[in-house]
Amino acid sequence: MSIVDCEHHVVVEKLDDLAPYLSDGWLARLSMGEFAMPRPGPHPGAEIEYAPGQGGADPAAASAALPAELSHAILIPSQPLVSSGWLGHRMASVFSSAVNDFVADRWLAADSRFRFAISVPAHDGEAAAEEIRRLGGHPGAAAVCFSPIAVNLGQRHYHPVYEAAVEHDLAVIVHPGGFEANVVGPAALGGVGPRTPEETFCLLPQVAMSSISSLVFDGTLTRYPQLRIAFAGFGFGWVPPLMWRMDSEWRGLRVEVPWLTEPPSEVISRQIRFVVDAAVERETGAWSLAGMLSPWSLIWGSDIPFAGGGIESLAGCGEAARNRILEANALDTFQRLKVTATVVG
Amino acid sequence: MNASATSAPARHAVGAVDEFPLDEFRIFRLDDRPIGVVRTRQGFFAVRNRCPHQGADICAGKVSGTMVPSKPFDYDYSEETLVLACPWHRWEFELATGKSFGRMTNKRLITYDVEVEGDQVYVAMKKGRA
Amino acid sequence: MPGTAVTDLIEAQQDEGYALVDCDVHPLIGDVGGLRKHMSKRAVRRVFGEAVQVYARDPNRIPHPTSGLRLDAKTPSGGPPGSDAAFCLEQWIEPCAIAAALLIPIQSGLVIPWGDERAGNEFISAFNNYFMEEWVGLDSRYRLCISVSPYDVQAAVDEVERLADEPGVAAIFMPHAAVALGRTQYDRLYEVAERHGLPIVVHPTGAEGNLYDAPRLAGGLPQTYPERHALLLQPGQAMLTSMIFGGVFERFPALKLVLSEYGVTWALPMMWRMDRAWELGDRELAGLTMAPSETVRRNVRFTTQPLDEPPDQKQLWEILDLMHAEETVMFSSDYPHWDTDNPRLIIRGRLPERLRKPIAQDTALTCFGDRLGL
Repeated sequence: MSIVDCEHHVVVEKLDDLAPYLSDGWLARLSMGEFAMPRPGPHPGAEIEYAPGQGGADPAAASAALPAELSHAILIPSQPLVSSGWLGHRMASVFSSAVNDFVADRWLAADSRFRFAISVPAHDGEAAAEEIRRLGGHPGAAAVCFSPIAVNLGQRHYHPVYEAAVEHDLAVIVHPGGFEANVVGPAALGGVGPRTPEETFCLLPQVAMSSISSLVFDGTLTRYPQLRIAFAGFGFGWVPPLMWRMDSEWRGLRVEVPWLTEPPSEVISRQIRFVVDAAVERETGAWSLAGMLSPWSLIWGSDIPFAGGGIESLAGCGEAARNRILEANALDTFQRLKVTATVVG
Repeated sequence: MNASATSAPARHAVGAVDEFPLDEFRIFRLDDRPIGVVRTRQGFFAVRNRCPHQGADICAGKVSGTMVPSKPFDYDYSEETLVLACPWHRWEFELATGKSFGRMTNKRLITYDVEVEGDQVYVAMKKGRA
Repeated sequence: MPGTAVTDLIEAQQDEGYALVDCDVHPLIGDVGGLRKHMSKRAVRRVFGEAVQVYARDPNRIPHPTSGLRLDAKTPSGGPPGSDAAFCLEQWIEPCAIAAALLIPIQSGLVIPWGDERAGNEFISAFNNYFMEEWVGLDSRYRLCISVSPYDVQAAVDEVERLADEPGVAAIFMPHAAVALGRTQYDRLYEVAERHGLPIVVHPTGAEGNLYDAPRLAGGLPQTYPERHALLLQPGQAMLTSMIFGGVFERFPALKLVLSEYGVTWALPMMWRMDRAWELGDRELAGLTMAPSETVRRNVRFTTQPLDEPPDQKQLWEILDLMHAEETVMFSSDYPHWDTDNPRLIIRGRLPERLRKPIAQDTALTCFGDRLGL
């Protein structure tokens, strides 16, 4: 049995590390004034305070720590995710591209099991599509990753992202940026604040809920039937109630969304995945709800360095389900993993 | 007129054609069942006045064509299949067959054959077939 | 016409041996202008200076593709569904053998964007008086949620004190504006509510995700009605977490919160998630003496409509079981809205036997006590 880690985070320690991957002008712009490298850790309510040296920045150390059974680890750059909270569209784009190049250059050579997710800015769908096309052919690319702005995921704003992703057989990973609760720009949380960290932690899955409702009812998943979207960092216990509610809505309101010719729960089961990462989902009894999902729905993510990374949290789910979550579902979701990557050192 | 002891299906007279306003159900109690009869542009239909979903008086709903599958945010309204939308949850059932339009449920709305002879309308008391 | 099919269904039932409480019935004032006579000249000028909408949002913003109301519930005089107290008895209360109907008049949500608090407060008092006279005064099965100002806490307290001892007053309806209900500024309201045994009832008003002054939906803005409707649980979830982690139920352990029409099954993963958040966070700072899920069991109630219809009903039952539905869930119909639930069908057809009496009657009795008049 093999393990595929669908959520292994990479941290860039210093702006200098990005110098080779930025234009002179942008390096100058980011070096002057207030800009500072984002503090990684886009997990509101995370139980670990990240400090430099704690991990995520050293490819050799990360490689050495990979379990023997691990066959692939999808590297998700942490810091570009927070750019959904930035106002500068081009800055988010430039920063994401620089980090992508950094990861492709410095990480992939450290371990043949590493793959990477192409970070894209959520602000600008066309710029995101350009970035996907720029790196989509890279043998190490396995996914696209972003954290959403306050535009729901089904809308045309993101269609260029999906088109480019599907062209290159890349699944899309959606992940929190960290600012959802408190700044204007990223996907909002429901209700109104101010909130304690506990409340933010509890409400974060709502971003995924709104995304899914939009993707299904706007017909976007129907329009891109090859598209696969994985929600990482949002948990999954909330999914069965949402699926059932969406099915009821569809049955009564089909005339408004006649392009949707099957129940939402079936579309979700086919095209949406949920990352089980140890930081987010260790709720008592969560596994009794897992049985209400399609067997394809859950994929494993270590969430290193923001969580312990161990697979102990899967102990409650039974052998067959565990093996699917650890490997088969990931291979199905991330089709590029099946292609042997020739690492560009 | 009640069903006789012979094997011939009973039928009930429910009035004259011009007593039926277009697209509006009239309700009758036939063989102790509430049955709605409606005149449409595609002829007469009769259904059990009970939505298979939660039991609402479905004949108080709306008779019309409906949106058929289309591209996202295009609409294609068609009257090829006439449906009855329940006044509660708006689940649509094909008037001709009782099937759920869009396959919301496997349960069917019970339908009955309607015969028009001259200007008189009759409901046949056997369940309509698909 | 009264629902013959519904009547047939009920006539075919045997006496179940318990009463049915409907915890979500929506009375409507067909002509809001009729409240003028109960308000001062100043307030009338402010409130009725321009046309007052009957509903909280412009229909064109996100138009329902058919109608948000039952198509068979127009009143005999041609008025909108829910606008005739006598007809509601005839069409709904009597045929369904409802022993007590909790009236939740969500039109008081109209005050959410009003900048003139004084006028808003007068409107609310006139509004409450209307329902006391026209509905509660007509039939003792009608039990009213009195509305209060979402902004002026002193006015809210005064309104509660004014009406708390009136027979037929069952609860307080708080139109949910853009204020976190866990904040200590509401403590005076919670204190008076707890003292009088009045649960706080919240319910979507139509303003959420539409008005600046109302709670947000998560993400961005929805485009279609089903997209939005599927997300209405979100302000309810936010309200719940705010009150739990805001320590409201620590300070007011006997207070009840009723989340009406926000859904039921999401509560289970949320209870677990809140417990997990409590574990992960600084427990001393949070200041909770019991786990959030235990607090929900003690203090929070959910109404059934719209009850989920999963392909495998046992999965619904499993969730109801795990969330202690026999303590936390109460039946509701949402009459006369379009996605209403048929009481007998829900209770007899979609609930396990052991939950029927609790959900039909017992949980509501425990929550509202004598205030149901049963």
